[in-house]
Amino acid sequence: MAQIDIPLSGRRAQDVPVQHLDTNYLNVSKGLLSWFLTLDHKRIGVMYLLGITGAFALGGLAALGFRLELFRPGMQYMTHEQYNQFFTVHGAVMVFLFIIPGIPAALGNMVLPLMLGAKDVAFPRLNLGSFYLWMIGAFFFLWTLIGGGLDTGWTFYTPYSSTLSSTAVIQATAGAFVLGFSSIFTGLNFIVTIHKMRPPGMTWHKLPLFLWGMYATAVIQVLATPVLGITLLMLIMERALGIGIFDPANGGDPVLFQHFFWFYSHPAVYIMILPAMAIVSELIATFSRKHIFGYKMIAYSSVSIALLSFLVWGHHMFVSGQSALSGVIFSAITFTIAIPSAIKVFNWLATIYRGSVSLETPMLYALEFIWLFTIGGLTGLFLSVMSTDVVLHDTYFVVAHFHYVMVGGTLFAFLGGLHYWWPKMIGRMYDEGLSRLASITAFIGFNLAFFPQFIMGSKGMPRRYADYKPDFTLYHQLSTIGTLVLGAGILMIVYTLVKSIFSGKKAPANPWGGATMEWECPSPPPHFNFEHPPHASDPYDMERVKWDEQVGGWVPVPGYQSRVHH
Amino acid sequence: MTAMLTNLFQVAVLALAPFAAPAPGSVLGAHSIELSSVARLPQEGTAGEAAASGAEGATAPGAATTQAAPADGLAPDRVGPHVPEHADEIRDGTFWMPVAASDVARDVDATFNFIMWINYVFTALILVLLVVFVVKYRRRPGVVADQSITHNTPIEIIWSVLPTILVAVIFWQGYVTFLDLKTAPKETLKIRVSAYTWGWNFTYPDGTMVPQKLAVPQGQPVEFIMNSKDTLHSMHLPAFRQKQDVLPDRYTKIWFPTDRIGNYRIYCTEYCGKDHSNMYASLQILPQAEFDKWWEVNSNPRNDADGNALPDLAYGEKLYSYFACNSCHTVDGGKNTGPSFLVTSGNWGKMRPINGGEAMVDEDYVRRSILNPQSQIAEGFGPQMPVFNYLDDEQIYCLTLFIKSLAKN
Repeated sequence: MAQIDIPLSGRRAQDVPVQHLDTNYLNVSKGLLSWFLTLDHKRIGVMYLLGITGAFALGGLAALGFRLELFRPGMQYMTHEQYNQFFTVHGAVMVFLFIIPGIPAALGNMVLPLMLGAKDVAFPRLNLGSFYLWMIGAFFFLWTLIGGGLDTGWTFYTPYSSTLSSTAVIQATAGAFVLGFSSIFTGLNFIVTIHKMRPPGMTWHKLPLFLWGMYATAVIQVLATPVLGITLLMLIMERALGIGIFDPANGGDPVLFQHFFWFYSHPAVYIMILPAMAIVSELIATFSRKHIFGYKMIAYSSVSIALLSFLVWGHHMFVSGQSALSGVIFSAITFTIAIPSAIKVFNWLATIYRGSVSLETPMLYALEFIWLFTIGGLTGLFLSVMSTDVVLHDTYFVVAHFHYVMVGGTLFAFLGGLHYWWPKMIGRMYDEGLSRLASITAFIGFNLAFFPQFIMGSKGMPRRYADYKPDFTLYHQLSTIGTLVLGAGILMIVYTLVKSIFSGKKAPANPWGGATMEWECPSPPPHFNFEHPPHASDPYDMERVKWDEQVGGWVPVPGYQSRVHH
Repeated sequence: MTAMLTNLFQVAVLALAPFAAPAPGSVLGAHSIELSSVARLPQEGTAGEAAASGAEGATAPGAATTQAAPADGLAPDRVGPHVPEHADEIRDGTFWMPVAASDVARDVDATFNFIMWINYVFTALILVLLVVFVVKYRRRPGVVADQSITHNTPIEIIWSVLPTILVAVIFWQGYVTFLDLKTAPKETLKIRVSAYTWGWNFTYPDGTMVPQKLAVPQGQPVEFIMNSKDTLHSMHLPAFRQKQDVLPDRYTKIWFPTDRIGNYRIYCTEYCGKDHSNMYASLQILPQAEFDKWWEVNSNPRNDADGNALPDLAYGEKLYSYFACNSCHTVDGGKNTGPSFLVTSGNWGKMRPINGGEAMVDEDYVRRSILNPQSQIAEGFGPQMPVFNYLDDEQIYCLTLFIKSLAKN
């Protein structure tokens, strides 16, 4: 059934791996039902990708809406209530529907089993169930939008959310609750898959770093998300029945809600960034054609970040009224997370050192990531130091900081991963020049949008303000212009990728020279991924593959013996 | 050295404090709230004497902006109309920060600047290395990557330990300054702050309350003892590098010295609903003499800008913006969080649908709405109005007069 459509010019077929298959996972069965009832991790990944792209568009449009409102002081075309709903929708949709499922559910589903040389995840039905829970959660959010909106901020702080807000808080909370289960199921699936389905030869220390990152993420998803579920359920009960746990009017404690909320939502920050770091480790190694530097340190730093992430939630609450002693402890532990993050950046730099660097689009994203994540991470120092956090807390400085990490970090890494695995996913190459231009446009727009926010924030501009005093006009205007440029960059990216589906040239099995196993199956892969389970070796031994002009891609070196020193 | 020992002592106190009874006057003695009048607030007599000096009151800073609402009484569409459009503290500040109005603020800035230098150095270092490596080791024919480098234990230890030392230093620095931010001096002018959606009431030790616009005399440090009437708010004083959330049903404190004369902005920085971005207050630190004049005009809301008593209706109109009624109730029939007063006025003497029945709109209806708003929520509105039980009878009367008068105009 396998049809090889490359010129062989005299070589025997078994010397060259199969590059393309006429029958692959995308067309092995037809009809909508074959997608909606599929158990194939790749198809589920594609459906997730479509879903989160829709969520991203919604969240992005909301952001565009309120950034335009903020172009001038005074209210231009929104009321205060509308502004509050726009920033809430932006935050809630981006966090719960896009960024948390983003890399694990869309790219992770696509790539994780391929990287293990496996046919699928451990529990394919649970995987499909997790996607449907995501859909149900998304419908709850749509219901929220139609049925009264939401103006609590994505943090749902009580007692505003439990008592004062007249918007559809219960629908939104129920949506986030359901999405939490979607996330737990994905995490469970990945933990079991990585434990039980590694191929012969893949010891823990030969696990690709993407999988280490996904593993650490999954641990957080499974352990932290239930706390969010309980908290949101209690919030629903508080709002509907007035049980008196969070609302002081009924004898409750609003700060308790913040503890519960951040006990999940701080680890959730690492659900967002760990997969991003994991992608960047893959990209840097592949495009430097060099063994990743400090493999064990990177792997262990992911796990240590995951574990430490459970112990730092109180740094969101230095001025909440929690005791100074709690503040000191949380501040101190927070700094311990700075170290593994710094180590990763140094390791990536050391990987590029004496490498053979090629600046294809995914690598461009990885380099942009390092630059933006460095700024995002270092500005985090101001916020983990107690005295400087007091003045910066809840200002635009915080907004800028977490956008540098969540957008500059996670979104850029996501786009890097998307461009890296796109040929594998779709079987087509995109226009390299255009996609590089799009990447640089988004990068410039991003910096213009968010760097001025650091300055106005440290000058005192509070976040979540529908209107502001003229002192801050300049910074807001730069920020809005930056948002428009960023939006243009994103549109270019979408255009480039969509265009490649229709007119891109066929992708080889291994277009970039990656040494991990997903590059050993054809692009796009067949339904069951591999005809013969591949044998695992060092995932960063780049000399295992060499460029083949005839194939137009990278192929394994026959009879290769590893020269890598460990 | 002494400072170091003091710091260590503070650490010890702080570490033990949760397990011990709160010491009087200690930062942790959250329950030992006493509203002793330590600052020299003018007494009844002195205010009267100062009033005799006539129009001077009008020229005192702050007095000029007493009449916040425009003459037509409509809710102004600019944010925080009672606060200047441009803050002195931002105008006179640095690239990153507003003016530092206290020694503690300057300490915070020292930490901020130190971290900023770490940021500059590391960002530049990483950017330079990134660019140099990418250019120098760009892919060229015939040149292959050096596969011998997979790890280097000494280097990895160095770049783990050095940042650890660096962050330990800034943690300590930030912690010590944090204690200074939190520890008020013994002798402070204690002002009670009540936050509500969407405004701030400040009550001096003698019981005088001023909303939104606060002035204090230079010299004596000020401590706010705060709580909220409804949801979470946060007191943000950027010039003093201070911030503290304000909670319902619990007291929190914040303090600042008053050495530097000036006009400072107070923001609400905890999202609290519709008019969160309108929830400003202004803080003036005045020399004692100017403060006395300010006090004479502002300690009695019934005074106009010249210190003369307003007639009932004008007083009611002033109270409409003074107590921030205008953030929820329009006077032109426009829709807002609460029913428009024009509609209330138009329905005077008629029945109006409320949750669970009807109510006759009259003087008692308005009075109940002010003192116990949850008892009768007009149909189509939410239970958002805070209790305004600190209005005295005279104020309720004049406000009612103003509301009643609207439909006739």
